[in-house]
Amino acid sequence: MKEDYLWDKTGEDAEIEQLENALMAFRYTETAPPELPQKVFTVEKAKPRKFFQFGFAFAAFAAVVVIFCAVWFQIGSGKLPVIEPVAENNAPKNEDKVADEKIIKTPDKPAPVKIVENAPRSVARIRRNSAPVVRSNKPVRQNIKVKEPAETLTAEEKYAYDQLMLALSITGSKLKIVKDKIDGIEGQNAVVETER
Amino acid sequence: MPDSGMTRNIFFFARSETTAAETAAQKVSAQAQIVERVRQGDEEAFGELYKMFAPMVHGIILARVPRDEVADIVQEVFLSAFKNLNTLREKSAVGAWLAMIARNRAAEFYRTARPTEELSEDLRQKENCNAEAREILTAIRSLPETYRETLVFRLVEGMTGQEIAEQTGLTPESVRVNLHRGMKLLREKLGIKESK
Repeated sequence: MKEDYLWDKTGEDAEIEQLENALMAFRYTETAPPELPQKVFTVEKAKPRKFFQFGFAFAAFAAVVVIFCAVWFQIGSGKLPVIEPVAENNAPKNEDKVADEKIIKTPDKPAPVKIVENAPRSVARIRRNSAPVVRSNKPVRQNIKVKEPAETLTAEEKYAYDQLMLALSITGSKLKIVKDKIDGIEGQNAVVETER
Repeated sequence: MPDSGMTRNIFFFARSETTAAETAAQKVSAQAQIVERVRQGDEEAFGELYKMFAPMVHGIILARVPRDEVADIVQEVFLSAFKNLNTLREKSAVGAWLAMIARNRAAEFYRTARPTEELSEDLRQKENCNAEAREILTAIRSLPETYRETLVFRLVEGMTGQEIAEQTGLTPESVRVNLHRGMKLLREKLGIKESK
């Protein structure tokens, strides 16, 4: 019986009952549960991620287009200097014909490059007139005529310029493709609207 | 007919064991449902959970921490449980999970230094009235952790062995063993001779 009282309070056990009565003072008295923080219940809906991705891509594309257009018009209006390398067979015979051309001189590196100011040239034209770009680690000094030992733009500078122009022309052509596509889509939309 | 009587007894005990197991399973299922409701933000369900497990949490903390601090720590335990309820994997093991939080909080209490105040005269008199109870509680606190908690649940909180098993997640056999060994040690501490 004693075992039963200790286990499930059936039967009698004076000793345990006495302990229980003494310890009754420490027993848990029912209290209200703690107040819950309200913010835990608020469930925030996650914003659609796809919309964000599309918006970000559109903004990035628009920024690239704006930058390209700005560069394009700067070159077209002739504000940027255009560097024209002189090929060996196209070298002018008469020095007077290139009187309006400004020549940069560096005493130690005699690689002649003419810089034509205010030249209304497009990128395509520059590409046509410029010397062919050799994709190698060798310097492009072979393609540049040494007109005078004093006239110079370093080979590294020349190479960097060629690379820059090539990159710009590639970017331009790619953007043109994109633009054509957009125009095509807009054209299609316009046709659909007119049909309606 | 002694054999038939024995058989009847065996069947009776077997049936009562089955009924107890079924009741325990139903209670565990009810606990899981309450946890699910609390997860969905049901404050009423949180109140039910608090009412169901507050005595157990109170007992665990009382077995370790000064009595004045127990009520506050019980509230802290339930708030912490509410905030971290999504980390509970096994919903039916909420009792064991709460017990673990309570033990951690009690350990944390001794890690953080808190300012103490001297007891007022009224409180001292009140404490003197419970001198016997305090002595018993001190003896229980000096027991090994396993027996200490089980005895507090049984003698202070007035829970039966089956209730202790259901709430703490221990097996009924373990609880029974802990109760008997704990009582034996407590008698030795208090100098009570076991009456046979």
